[in-house]
Amino acid sequence: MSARQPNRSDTGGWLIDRSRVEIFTFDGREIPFHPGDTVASALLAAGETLVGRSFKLHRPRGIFGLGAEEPNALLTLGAGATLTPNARATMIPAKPGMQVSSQNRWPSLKHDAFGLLDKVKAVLPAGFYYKTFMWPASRWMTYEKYIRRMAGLGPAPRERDTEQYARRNIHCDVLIAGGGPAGLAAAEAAAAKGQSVILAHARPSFGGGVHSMPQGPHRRWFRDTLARLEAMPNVRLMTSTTVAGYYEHELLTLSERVRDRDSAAGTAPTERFWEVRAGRVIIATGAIERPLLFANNDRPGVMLASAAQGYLWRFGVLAGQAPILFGGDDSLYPLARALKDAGAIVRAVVDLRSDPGLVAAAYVADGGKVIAGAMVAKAHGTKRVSGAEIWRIDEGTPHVQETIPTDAILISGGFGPSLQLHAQSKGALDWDENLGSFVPGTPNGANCSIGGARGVFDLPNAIADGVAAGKAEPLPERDQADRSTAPQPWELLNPTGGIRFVDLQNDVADKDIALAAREGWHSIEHVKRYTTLGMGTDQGKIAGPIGLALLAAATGKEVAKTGLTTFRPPATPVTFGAVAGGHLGEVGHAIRRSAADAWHESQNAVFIDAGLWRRPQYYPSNGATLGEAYRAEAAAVRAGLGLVDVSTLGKIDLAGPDAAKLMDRLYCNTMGTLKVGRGRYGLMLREDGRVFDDGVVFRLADDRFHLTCTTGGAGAVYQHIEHALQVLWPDLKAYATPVSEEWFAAAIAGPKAREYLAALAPELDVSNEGLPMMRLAETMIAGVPARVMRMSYSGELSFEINVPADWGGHVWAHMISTGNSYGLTTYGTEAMGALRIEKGHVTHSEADGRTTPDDLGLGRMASRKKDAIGVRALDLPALQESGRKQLVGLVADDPAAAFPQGAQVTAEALGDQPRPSLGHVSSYAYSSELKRMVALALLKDGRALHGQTVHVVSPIMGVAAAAKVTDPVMIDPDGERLRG
Amino acid sequence: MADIGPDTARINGFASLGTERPAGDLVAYAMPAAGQAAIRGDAADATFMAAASAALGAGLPMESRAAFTDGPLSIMRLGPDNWLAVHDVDAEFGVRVEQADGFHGINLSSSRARLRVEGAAARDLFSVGSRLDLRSHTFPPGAFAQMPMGNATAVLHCRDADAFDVYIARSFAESWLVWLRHAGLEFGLITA
Repeated sequence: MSARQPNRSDTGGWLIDRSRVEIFTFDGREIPFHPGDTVASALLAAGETLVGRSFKLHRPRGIFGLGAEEPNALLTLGAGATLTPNARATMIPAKPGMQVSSQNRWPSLKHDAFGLLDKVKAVLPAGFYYKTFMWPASRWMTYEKYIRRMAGLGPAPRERDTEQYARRNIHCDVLIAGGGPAGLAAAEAAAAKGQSVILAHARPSFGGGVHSMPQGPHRRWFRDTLARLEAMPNVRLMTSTTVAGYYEHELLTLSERVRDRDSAAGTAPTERFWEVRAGRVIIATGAIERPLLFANNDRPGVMLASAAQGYLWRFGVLAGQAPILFGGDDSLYPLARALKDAGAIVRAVVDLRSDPGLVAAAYVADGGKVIAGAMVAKAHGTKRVSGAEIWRIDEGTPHVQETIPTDAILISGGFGPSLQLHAQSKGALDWDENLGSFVPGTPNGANCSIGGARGVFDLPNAIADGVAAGKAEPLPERDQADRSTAPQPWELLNPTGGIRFVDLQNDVADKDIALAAREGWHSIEHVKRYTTLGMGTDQGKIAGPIGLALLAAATGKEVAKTGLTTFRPPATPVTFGAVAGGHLGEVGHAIRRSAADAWHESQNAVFIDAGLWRRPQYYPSNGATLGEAYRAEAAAVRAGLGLVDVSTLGKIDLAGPDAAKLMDRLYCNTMGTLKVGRGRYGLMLREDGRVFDDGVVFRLADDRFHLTCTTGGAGAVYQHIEHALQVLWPDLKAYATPVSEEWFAAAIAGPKAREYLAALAPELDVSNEGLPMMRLAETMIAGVPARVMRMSYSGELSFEINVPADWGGHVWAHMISTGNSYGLTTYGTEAMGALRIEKGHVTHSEADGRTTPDDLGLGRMASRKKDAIGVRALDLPALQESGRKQLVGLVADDPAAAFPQGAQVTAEALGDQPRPSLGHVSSYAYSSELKRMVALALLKDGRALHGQTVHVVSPIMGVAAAAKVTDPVMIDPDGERLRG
Repeated sequence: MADIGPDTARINGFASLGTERPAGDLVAYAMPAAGQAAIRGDAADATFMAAASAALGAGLPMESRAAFTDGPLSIMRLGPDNWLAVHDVDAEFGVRVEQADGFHGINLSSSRARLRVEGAAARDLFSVGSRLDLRSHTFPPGAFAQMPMGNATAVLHCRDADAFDVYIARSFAESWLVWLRHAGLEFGLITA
């Protein structure tokens, strides 16, 4: 023992390297530790008993457990970008220089202002938020702000996390969760059969309970077994790895801490998240000790006896200098002896049994003090235990025996299996009356629980479990322990009437559960939510079983019938970084790029997302804004010549003897009559008659079509066709092949398009006769075979050029350089949108899933001479009646007026009163042709409104503009330009 | 009319990735496939199978997990009625298949970018982004599979114990490289 580590003993310490002393800081104070210590063991060694404040009442709290079940010692690691809140001190290996801070206290841990809450706890029972802060209801938002500040865990990091996270998928024959004795034995037995094995252990070193025992042959067994496993090529040993989730079909998730957050980055990630697909699963996650209820059982210094045992043997740390042990079975006595041997003054063993038996008698014979038939009824002290009030419970009325000064009360309420993974896999849970605990019942899936995780707590039997499970043989019969003569933890009296905590992390006391039961909450799921029992980061690993039994008692039901709450992944907290960190930015979200993308980027194009594609929205030459740029680009197309990259449009090759038949069923208009080499605009409907997608179709051969669809609709249209082929008409012989990736596509548009095309494709007859509307021709452009399709989206004379995408960049560059002498302007999606709005061409803004062909003014396209998907639905009365919204154009009266975003259309100007909406603007743009705003809108009976003045309004923005209702085709209604 | 464009003007989807194998234990480099084509038809139709076989110079494999490979030609059955045929050196291959009679071939020579990954850690590298069982006994040389990998869909073809061809849709290729390089950090992946 040293002055700086007053609780460090020379006994035990199997996991630490005593030859070295390092330092980390806790709330700025230096804490010495040995390599191998956890933050918790180092704090205990240094005498730091007070480590946190409780969630609701801000009561002082100390370290309570040894592992993942720890409810109290939640600390913040690091600062800034590497800050991690709510780390369990019991699971975090101490590292030199690490910065550790306490949470949920202000201004300091020792002097916490909100600690006053504890004084008024009588008026803060379960559900008090709901009851107290409801009036007036409008004030809840105010209350909430303060409640949130008072209650809570650590701070969320405010800076962007700079750590690297990785993911990995892996398959194995056997996954073993837990590397204690049972897990190690299972791994060796399975690996010896030649199976591929993953052994995952939450801590940095394997061994589990082996390390919580004195020196003995089991330590040799452990070292030898581990050495053999390390030499086996079919075994993957994973430490610092928590099995977090168990999903269907033996899919499990693992959270691996690869290195410390503050350590040198190198190429290793901080954490790695694994998805394991296992042939079978062996659950060897051990058992958890249950606490005992007494007044102030949450005071720093109260600790699970198994934790104290672990701290002694693993880390050479005494939980207290003068402890009291309190429980109801023989396991207390070896611990008492060990603590005594390690230098502690064991004040007494308080045994609930009135006749504790031989082991206790031997302890007494050796000079130990045993108080039998008694209980600790109350802990004294605030920031650390100072005494234990002992009551006799075995003779007559319970009465005070004595108050013994002590600095630690080590409690044991028996053990229960750690059920998380078994329960997550939806395995049955059986109530074991002897253990006073649920145990794994019939498994669901290829898994079994072994050792402590099924209620086998002694070492030889746990190892025997492991060997059998590893070999995939039946497990040995489990010893049915004699029913303990001691009362169960939830049966203890509360003679002093003080507060007894069930869930330490969430400040849930036994009376809260009783209150919930009185108020009618009888389902454990309801009680959980009403009281917050088991809702902390520890997921009620300690509190759950006790709370459940208390509810059963309060409602007069059997524990077995009360049941457990649902166990959900993760079993222990997993950082968001581990789950999502490997998916940020382009790493996780692909950007699709056209073959001309590099050129667009070189021109400083501003990109816009179109599905996964990025498309140039506009080219901001000379610092032009979006509005300036697209107006200029659109005007240049109408006046001269424009070029746009349309590679993103969906393209599908549909071929086969029945291709024409299928086309007629897919499109509401007739496609079967299309002649080879010609194209037609087509409309696909959904089953319910609404427009699904549109695009131009060219017939390449009698049995082959080239379909185009919208950029956003490409995937859905292909699925739709496959559905038709595979499900609706599997008898049709036709094959749909997506070819969007194959073709680079560019459209040229404007009065100069023909002479420009002639320059691009000197071998092509570009005359109106040689290449009329909706005709496809093949030619060479820049030495590359190209398809030229005459069609128009802009309303101008226009051609679309397709070349194999590997030559797309080359052809685009050629088009740009050739275009110089024709005043070529490249334009983006914004100008393209303006041009099509002027022409009344619809996109998914108009074909929004609600509109029929007739709504869009395309009713005549739906042929009744044949049957096609969705056509019959058009006869539904709802699609026929008046009042449906119809597509119209809107032209602003005032050239200076702006159409607001998301505008509604009303008959009257905006006034004091709400105006009924006629419909809404679906798309709008500035018309470079009409020199004012234009829009497409869907208005009730819109076609009857042509010529009338309406108002485009946004009451929210307080904007309104008068506009004339027109035909959707607002310029060149006869299409003279595109046929020119 | 020529069937394809000038070789010098052709830019494959992995434009930023070199084609020379770099030195290193785990490497990735572009290996553009000169010609690719989809072959569509009914495997039960003998006429179709014969026509495809005549055009390809090899029968269409019926196996759905193992590729047929003969020198520069590989054929993978991606679906019941869908084969991907790849030619390493013949740039006219896709056009030739498309123009052949008796079955539906579609030239897809520009559709998928291809790269080669070599190294003992290659399977682990792919397992960062693929949920498939890629252990050597379930995914031996010759095996192929189409799967989501990272941020895109990949066709993975095992060419040798530690050598793989990866096909990525052209428009996704550069983004997929971003994923690959990120995934490769911890394995020391060296890209050309």
